[in-house]
Amino acid sequence: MFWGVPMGQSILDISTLELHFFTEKGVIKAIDGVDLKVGEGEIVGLVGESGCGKSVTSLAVMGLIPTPPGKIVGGSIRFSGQEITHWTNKQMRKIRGKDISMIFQEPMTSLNPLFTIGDQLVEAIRVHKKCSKKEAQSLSLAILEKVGIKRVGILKQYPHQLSGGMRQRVMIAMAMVLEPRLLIADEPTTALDVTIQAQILDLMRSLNREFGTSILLITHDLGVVAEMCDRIVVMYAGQVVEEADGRKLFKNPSHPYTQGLLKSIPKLDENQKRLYSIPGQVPHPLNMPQGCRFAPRCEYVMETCWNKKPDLYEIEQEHLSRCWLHQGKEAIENGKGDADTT
Amino acid sequence: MLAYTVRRLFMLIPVLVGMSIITFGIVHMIPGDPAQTIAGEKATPQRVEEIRKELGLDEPLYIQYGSYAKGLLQGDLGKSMTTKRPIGEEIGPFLAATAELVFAAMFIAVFFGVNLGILSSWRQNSWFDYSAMMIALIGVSIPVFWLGLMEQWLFAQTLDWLPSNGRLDPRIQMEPITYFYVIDTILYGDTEVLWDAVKHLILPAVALATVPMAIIARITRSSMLEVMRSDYIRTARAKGLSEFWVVYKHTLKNASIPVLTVIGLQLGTLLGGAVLTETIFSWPGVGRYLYTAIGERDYTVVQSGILIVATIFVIINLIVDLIYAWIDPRIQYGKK
Repeated sequence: MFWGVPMGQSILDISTLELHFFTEKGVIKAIDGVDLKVGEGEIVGLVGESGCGKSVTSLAVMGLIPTPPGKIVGGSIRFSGQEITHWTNKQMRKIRGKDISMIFQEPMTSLNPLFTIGDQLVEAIRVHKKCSKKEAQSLSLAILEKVGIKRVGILKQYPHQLSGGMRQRVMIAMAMVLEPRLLIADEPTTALDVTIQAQILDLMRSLNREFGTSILLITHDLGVVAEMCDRIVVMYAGQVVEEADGRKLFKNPSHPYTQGLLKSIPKLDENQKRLYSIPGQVPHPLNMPQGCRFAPRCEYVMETCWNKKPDLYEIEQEHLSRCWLHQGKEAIENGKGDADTT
Repeated sequence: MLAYTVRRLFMLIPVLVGMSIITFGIVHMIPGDPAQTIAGEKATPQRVEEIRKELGLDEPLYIQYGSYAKGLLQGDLGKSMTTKRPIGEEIGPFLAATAELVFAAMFIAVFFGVNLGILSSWRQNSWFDYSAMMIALIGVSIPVFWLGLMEQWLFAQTLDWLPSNGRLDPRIQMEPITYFYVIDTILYGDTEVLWDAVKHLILPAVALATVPMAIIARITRSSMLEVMRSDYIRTARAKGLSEFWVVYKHTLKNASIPVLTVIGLQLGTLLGGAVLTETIFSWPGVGRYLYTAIGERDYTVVQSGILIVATIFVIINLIVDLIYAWIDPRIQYGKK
């Protein structure tokens, strides 16, 4: 079913992952059968609205989902061939920050305000690497220079003395200093000015080239994805709904949700009176539609969509979509039909 | 930081002046005639009048305050009306006794309070959390005098493990140096007496520690919980730091400011307000000293004693403020 990345070469391989949150009000199926692969040196974009499960997916890879209430109930996460789904916290700690690292949306609050930049970088290095404080400091300065910070005395400065863009650079430096194999970037540019956004994206791309680090870029911004990513995965309500390489997805979006997302990008050359937005709202996680999860908001909705769950379907080579529209009549009739009873 | 410290010290002056006026005023509003008390009930009116004159109590209040303030500026806290000894000299050993007790109690309160709070927040909603917070709730609610009496009944009377009152076994004769008996015995190098002093300290210190410990535990817990939800704690975990470092380095430092505030306030309060504990355990502390002075209408002792206790309170809170700035580099006092 998968393509693009030959087996054995994918650095991250998530298959049919199911992650539920067990709350007092009921079970929230935050991730419901997500498949996702990131190849060696590849940049993959994970796109979707807030609450669609993209951040939860990334935190699950890091092993940072608070348990309870969250729990992986099915599927697997493999990191460079190793099954890490049920690793203990102690095992995960050994790869966290060293082999997989992560940067977050809010550079303003992601650094500890009471410790210096140097302290936080040195700490990140010395957790995994046996070296003296001096060595760690010179390593820190080297990586800071690589991310474009050449300030004198930067190691002695506190986060509040830096701008948002600078802090995100520090976060990237901290994530990249041990040359991890996978960098998960959760909305790394959302909180930044547009001009700074471009700089940060450029930086990530050049680090990707230089170190060969694979990047999983999580964002709701299709513009960012178009610029950066080799492959794009679109998520909706805890499921992958479409997956294709960047060009195909933009030229020929096949899932109605993806089409809606693309339509809602404002265009300068067209004389639009109003910006397009997808009608309706994301379904409540405790009250998912029985069939296709996008059915209530879909302009092409059919009878089948309401009671049968569509599968991811290869509509053309290297292009998957979870929609009944692209599947033959036969598929619809023989479809799973086991409506979601929860 | 230095400039701030100096400025804060200067700002103490109006506070101290205000406090001296207030203590002086309040003490003189207490009903009862000190001259009569000193002279005794059977004294003749002439004798009472003589004493009044001798003590300067016949002067108008502002003149009385003037001479009091003048004395204060020269470091003279006045003389006790009953013992006729200088208050500065007299109150020292009592202050030391209280300080020894309060520091021991605060050590217990901070150590157990902070750690209980940390463990509770770390294992939020576990049975440990519930029982620790239940203990904390009981701790805040227990009256100190009841706890003190129960301790004496159980550990001194029934089990006979620890002495029930006093600072030292009365058979031991010791010339005090600092009046901190634990320090004095160490200075003398007498471990047997040291052990006796420590044993006398345990019960009152535990009784006095209960309420602050409970308050500190609850504040630590809620403050830790708030910090644990923050983004930089997630970053610390994402680095691969062990849970111990995440909790004790990254979370605790950020959570410590409200905890410090409470510690400062409790410390200041206890230094002047350990009267109940001191009375139950016959601890010759400043609380009992002042209590006795109030009973004897010893104005000068009461006003100077209260002033000293209040000054200590203000200074402790100043120190806490300075520690804030040292912990959190974002606090740049006075810079706009």
